Amino acid sequence: MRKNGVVIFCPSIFSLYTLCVSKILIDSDIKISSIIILKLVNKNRLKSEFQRDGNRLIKKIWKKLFLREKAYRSSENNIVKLKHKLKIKESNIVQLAKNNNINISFVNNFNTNNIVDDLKILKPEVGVFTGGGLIRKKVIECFGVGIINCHMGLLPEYRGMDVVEWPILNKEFNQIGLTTHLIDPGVDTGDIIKSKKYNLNNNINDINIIRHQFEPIMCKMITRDTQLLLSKNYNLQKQSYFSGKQYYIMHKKLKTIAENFLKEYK
Amino acid sequence: MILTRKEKIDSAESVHFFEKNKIIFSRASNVYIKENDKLEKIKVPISFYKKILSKFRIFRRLFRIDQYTIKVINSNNDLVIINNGNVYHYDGLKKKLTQTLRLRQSKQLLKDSICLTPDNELFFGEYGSNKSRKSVPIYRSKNFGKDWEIVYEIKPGKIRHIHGCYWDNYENKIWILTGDFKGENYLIKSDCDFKEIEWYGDGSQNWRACNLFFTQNEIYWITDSEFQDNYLFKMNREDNVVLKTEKFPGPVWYIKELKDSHYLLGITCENGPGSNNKFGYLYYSSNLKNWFEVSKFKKDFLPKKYFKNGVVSFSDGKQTIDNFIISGQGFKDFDGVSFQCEIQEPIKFLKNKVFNGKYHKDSYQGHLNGVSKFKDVTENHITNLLVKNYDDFNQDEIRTNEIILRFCEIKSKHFTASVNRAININKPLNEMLLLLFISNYLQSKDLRYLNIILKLTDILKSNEYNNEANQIYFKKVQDFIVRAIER
Repeated sequence: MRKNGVVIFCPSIFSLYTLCVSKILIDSDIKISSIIILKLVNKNRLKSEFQRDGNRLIKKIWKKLFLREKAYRSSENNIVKLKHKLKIKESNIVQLAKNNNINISFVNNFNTNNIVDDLKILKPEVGVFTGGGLIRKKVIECFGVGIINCHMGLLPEYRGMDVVEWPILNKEFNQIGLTTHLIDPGVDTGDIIKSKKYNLNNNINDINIIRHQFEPIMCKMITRDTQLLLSKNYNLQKQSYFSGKQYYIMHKKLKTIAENFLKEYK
Repeated sequence: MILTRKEKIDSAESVHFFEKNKIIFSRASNVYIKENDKLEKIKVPISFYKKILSKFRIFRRLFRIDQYTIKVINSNNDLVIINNGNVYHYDGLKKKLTQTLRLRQSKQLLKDSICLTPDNELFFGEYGSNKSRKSVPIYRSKNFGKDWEIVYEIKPGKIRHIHGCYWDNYENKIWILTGDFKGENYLIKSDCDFKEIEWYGDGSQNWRACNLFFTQNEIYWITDSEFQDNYLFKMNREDNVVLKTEKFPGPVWYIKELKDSHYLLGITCENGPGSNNKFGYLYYSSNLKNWFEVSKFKKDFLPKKYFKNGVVSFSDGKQTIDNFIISGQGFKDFDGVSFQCEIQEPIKFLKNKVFNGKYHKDSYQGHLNGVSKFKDVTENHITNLLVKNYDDFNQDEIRTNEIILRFCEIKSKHFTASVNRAININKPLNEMLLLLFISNYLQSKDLRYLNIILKLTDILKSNEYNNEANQIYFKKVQDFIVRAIER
């Protein structure tokens, strides 16, 4: 019999997304058994992320670790506003965990045998994934229901990376949205819980604004659907491999074209 | 489509005629006929001081010394040469140049603007600045350009000048195009005696054209206006209904119809709201409807008013898509020079130029099981995907294709080393994979393939394909595919 609540996978101690998700879960009386945090200084992680992201990793580090809340504009509806709305005083997830007596552990990656051993003892029902790379099957199997992720694209059509930019480049402006799903060993191929289409506003001419607007919605969706999973009140929709495509990091030339398409969109 | 400059034409400032092994070009005060490696020089009379100045390209531009209109009349190389307001007849057999006419209003005409009818009658009109808007004569010669008569005169005040006279094979009529300002732009259709004259247009800039494309049912023109945006217009021959279609980034002076329905046009770099004042362009179409930019030329630093606009021009004669000539004036690295060129589809281009056409349909191996990991991919898997139509991929092939794409995306930063480490194939893997993605993209228009092509061409051009030619080819492929998606 599994009694323990949720385990959160956190990409960095400064993740605003993890902070907001954790706070919403705490405020909803959902027990967080543990928060597993990726260590910031980790040679292998840096290497693999640099291989994947290249130069844009520097931008990412600058934005996420140094600018943090300053990276967001005050005028837009974004995750910083949500953080203030949720009255989160802590500046990082470690402080929040301490103030709420939540167990934390720092790891080099989420797929080590130690994690598996710990999870087998904890026997969590649901894992809440807030970023930090792929999760292997052996970790997924430690959860009663599974690990939930909120994907910044509509599944099954838009799997993978840069899936806000790709529908714009494909001129499928009604295919921008968010999807909560259970993680499986593939990339965004797990069972779909819910999805939400984004109504593209004519005035938006910057893809980053869409991403910023998505983050608070993702916090709400992932926490809402975590509750559904915990209460066993859900219907899962299987994905067919052939019904969607996996997308990858978009080349800068195409990104510029996508930005232009967005500006031209009426 | 991708333009390749195959060869620079030695000493040719501007090429006027090119067909098989005959090429006629001009440089400074001379016209040259090169046929089967035999070079004939025609010295066109020029004043002493201009002769001195003509030693330098910059003065040839400033004083318009390089401006020739040349028409080849027959296979004897009899020519009509117009330069500096003089009309000459060149007897190809006697090798004798004779002045036959002095123009009233013009120093020069546009290139290839003289009409030669099937009955060997020649026509052209004056192309001067005509500030006082005098009547504009159209000249005719019935004896190969030895004597000229004014066959028709356009009334004073009606037009500024004539851009060109062109023969319409479909209706057996001559078309005369006029310009330049408000109320002066018309297409005029006439018989050879100018007895049945029909005027088309309202004089607006929409009717300002330097050249026409003729088809069975339609007349096409692209406007030559520095005052407003330039468009392709087509007029139905039956009901004269005019349709405005594609927009172009500048005025069009010169066009070229190649064999087998291939069309080219050069976009001039001028000053004014209708022109991009920094670039000229070469456009290609295979149907006169969809046009592709195949090359872009940056204007040089010299002021257009004194040193001429940036102009891309073509030469008369039957030419093909894989062998035609362009001449450039006023562009950076493309001024006073001419190139023998070809245009190819990107896939054909890459296969031929970079990968030497190594993969063929007959290399299909039959059904192969799909793979779940990239390391299980074999040469046969890739060859099969390469030679099979994208739409005919079975589920195994779709999976294999996706696995290859995924691996190449993830490893794109260290592409060559990664793929060679992962699988051992006795052929240049990066070539095969790049070709596979290009082939997939061209067939499916799936932009994920475009994405990986861009990434791989970035990597390959800086690695083992690091020679100047391939870098240019890869850049061209990138430019073409990016422009195609922008359109």
